[in-house]
Amino acid sequence: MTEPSGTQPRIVDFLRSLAEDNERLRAYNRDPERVLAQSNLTAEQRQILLSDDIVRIRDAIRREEDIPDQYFILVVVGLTLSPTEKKLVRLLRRLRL
Amino acid sequence: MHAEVALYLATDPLAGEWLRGINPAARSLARHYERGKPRLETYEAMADEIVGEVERGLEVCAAFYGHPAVFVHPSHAAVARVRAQGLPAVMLPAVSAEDCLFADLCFDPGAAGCQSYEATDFLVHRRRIDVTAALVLWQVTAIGVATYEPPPAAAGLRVLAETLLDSYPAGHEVTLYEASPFPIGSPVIERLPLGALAEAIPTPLATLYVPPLREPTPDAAMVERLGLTR
Repeated sequence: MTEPSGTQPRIVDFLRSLAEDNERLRAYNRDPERVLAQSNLTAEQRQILLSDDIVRIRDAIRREEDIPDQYFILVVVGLTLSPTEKKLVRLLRRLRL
Repeated sequence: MHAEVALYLATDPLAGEWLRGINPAARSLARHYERGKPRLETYEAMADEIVGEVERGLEVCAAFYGHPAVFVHPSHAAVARVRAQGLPAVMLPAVSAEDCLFADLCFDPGAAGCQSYEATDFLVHRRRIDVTAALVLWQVTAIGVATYEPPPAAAGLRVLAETLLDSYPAGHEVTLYEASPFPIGSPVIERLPLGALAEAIPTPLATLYVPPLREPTPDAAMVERLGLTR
């Protein structure tokens, strides 16, 4: 996967290219500045990636993709149920049957 | 992911884009989240969607962030319901946040044992702590959150800190941890004394790691019984 050209550069595209291309990821780990210099990312985006700070990277992606803060919170609030809630699920299923 | 129907739940747009790159028809289950909606309904709706596609006779793949069998209700519910209909369903293992924690903190759960709880569950059920084993508490930013609202992290974290201070001294070092979800980037590793936890501002996906306070004392009779003295 290569980054799309002629469009607004996106951090997501760059990260996806690293995730899908082992050679490129290895090159980035060896010399991130060189790989970033070859990308179409802006100076600000490169600085964010060079920070190695996942909070900054995630915030930048959120801004670029126009994702509301709430999205991350929604997904993060776990996918588990308490034992009481599980009992309720079983009861609801029985009632449906 | 060459399934006829590909469903996913990811914490960041990168994972979603990557999955859609593998299967262009992949669609997110995140649309079931609604502000204020009880999570029970949300998870059941996700399971309904997965099972519904199977009932249509389609080959379905559902991907969840982390490990699909760890802290994920809809995956377990969907697999159980599909199997109950006599249809095949397989749960494939993956890498959970706890697996990343073991690696990034260089912590071996086999060395001293490890207790692992969802933070709200830990508090609500007043779980008993063994301070000679490690303690991992998940979802410390969402303590007491039953619906999808901005979590009152500060209030819940204060309660958690106070509870832990009943068992550990204020100077005991704990770690707020979050794995990197990206192919690059360092994990968040914030070490702090337990006494400062109540005022901490964890990242949204943070897990709390509490190392053992002291070594356990072996039971002499059991050591003898197992022949470990020879």
